[in-house]
Amino acid sequence: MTVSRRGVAMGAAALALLGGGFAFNYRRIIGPWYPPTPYDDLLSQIVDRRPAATLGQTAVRTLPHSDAATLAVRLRRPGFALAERARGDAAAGRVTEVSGWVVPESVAQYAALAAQFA
Amino acid sequence: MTGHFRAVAAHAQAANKLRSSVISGTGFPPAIFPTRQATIRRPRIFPAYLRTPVLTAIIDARTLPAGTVLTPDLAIIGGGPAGISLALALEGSGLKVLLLESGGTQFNAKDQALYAGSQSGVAYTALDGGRLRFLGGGTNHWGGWCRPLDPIDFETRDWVPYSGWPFGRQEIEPYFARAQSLVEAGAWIYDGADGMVTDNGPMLPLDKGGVYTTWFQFSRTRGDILPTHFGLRYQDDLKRATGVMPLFHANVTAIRLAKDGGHVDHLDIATLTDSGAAGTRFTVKPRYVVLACGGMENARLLLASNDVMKPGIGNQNDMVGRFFADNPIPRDTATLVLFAGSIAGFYNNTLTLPNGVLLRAALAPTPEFARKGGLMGSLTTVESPAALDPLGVAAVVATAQALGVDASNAKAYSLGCGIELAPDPDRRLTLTDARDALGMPRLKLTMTVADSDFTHYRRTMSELGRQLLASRTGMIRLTYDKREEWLANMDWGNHHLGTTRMSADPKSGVVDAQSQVHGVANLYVAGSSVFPTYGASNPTLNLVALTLRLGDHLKKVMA
Repeated sequence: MTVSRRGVAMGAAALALLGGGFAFNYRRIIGPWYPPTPYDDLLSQIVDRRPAATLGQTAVRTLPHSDAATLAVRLRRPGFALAERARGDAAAGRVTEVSGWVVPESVAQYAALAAQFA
Repeated sequence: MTGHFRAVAAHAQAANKLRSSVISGTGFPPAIFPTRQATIRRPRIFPAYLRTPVLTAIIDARTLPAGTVLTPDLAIIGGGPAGISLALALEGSGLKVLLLESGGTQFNAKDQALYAGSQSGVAYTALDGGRLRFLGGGTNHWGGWCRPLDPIDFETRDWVPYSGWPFGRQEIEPYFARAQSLVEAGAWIYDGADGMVTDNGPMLPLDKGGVYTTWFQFSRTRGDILPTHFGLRYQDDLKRATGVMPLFHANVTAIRLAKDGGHVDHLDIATLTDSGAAGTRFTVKPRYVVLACGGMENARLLLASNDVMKPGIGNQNDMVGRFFADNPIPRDTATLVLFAGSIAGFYNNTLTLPNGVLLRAALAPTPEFARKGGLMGSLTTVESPAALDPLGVAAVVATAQALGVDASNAKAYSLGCGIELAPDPDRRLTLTDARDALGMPRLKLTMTVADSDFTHYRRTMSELGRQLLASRTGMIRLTYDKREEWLANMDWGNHHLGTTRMSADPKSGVVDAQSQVHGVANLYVAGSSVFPTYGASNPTLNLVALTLRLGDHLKKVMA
């Protein structure tokens, strides 16, 4: 069996295309990837947006004023990372229920935001 | 246990033969009771009324001739934990005490049928299903959970209408030690357990707030008996008790007042035949009477005894039978998730200390939190491991990540609870036209549960969730929101409370601070029917302590 030069070239080209495609889409293939949003400064604080979005789908229905713009205004307070804000909410009694789960208000709000850009 | 019951039955049978022979004058057989021989005594204490011999040890009322008149110093109606505790407390006091028990030493369906009644409103245990009509009463099916009422349970709480005892907890505290001994719950530890369990796992780390870990103790395991059944445990003590005569199969069908209504003149007693029909009838004419036959039957007997006081004894202000209460124990009320994994075993199982004390942790609202939030009492226990649905998993992962906590080993548990109901005069027992085999009117229960009874508990659980989040140790899911969800998952403690409530003012209660029926000089009520507010603690330990207090009072007034 002989392999033509043309065949080798076409195979190499196909491999290169496949590799390039993987390289371009690797975040979609092996990890979550989200299109850019006006709220990435907030959403980037969420370690994994998938569970947050799942929780947020319910939170959107239960929180008052759960549109993204309003949520962003409430969450864009300087000086607090999500972890501090979540703990601070709990310590101060700012908790809410999402389908019975008692969570810090900020967690519900972040989740509701994540659900709108999942 | 069954073998023991058989032995007791044989013993009782032999004793009844003895009684028959004594009464019929056919002789005096050899002693059956090794430490206390059945005897005929000369009438010395109450010669005016004595027409039959004063017998010691246990007697079967069915062997007494019709028309018999017994004349003890004190008649205790009911051989449950209150009646037995009172009888034993008065041993050696010099008083002749007659303990009237409707049943015998074992369950009998025909005796039990006397309890049947009707009900309306919120679904509740059948009236002949949540209590037991034989020696030991409710302790024949109790779970052995013991915990003293909290001081706040005695207080007049401005957010709880009709609340407040005529005294504080300090009034019954001197009796807790003896009560603890009677329920066989071991050394008094309760909330002193915090520092005693460190080798058995960590306490639930909760941020400062409105919920804290508190402790139950348990009536002790003895061989295959768990927990202490008062009838089985104390029947030999009753047989031996000087001055105490238990009378089995004796049903009180009426409390007869003197014409002026100021005191009890006598009690009508009836027996039930083996076929379930009315048997012999006779009379007990005591100096004093203590009604101790449970939260339902106490009210029934007072209401049905209406020949002199037409509304019923003690019911001149329409209070008897009102304010019935129980502790709801809804299932799976919440899910507790701990981010780090398993909870210490003493939260979801009993822990046995080296001294034999059985403990289990529970979660309760602090008095400060209850006052601030206007809440009722509750006691929450950790039950079995639980599985989370996809939303639950997402909630735990998202929250733990937001808090910066690793939840890869998180575990979930379902929670159960006992709740204190708010007093409600419309939750009540009334008499119906239906009659039992002895001619007694049957009861009807109108059961209510207010929405606030559930919302108060939810607020306590929400606070627990907040404290878990603030300490970054876990979180809570509240299972039920709507009333129908609560009611569909409701069980009951079958703690029958409140129907002859205690109050210094006759207009708002049936008995006074000494448990004496208002306006009736020689009639008292023992048991949890006198609790004007109820707490979330199981009542047995507390009602026994209260009964022992009554015993001390009776020793004084009857001396």
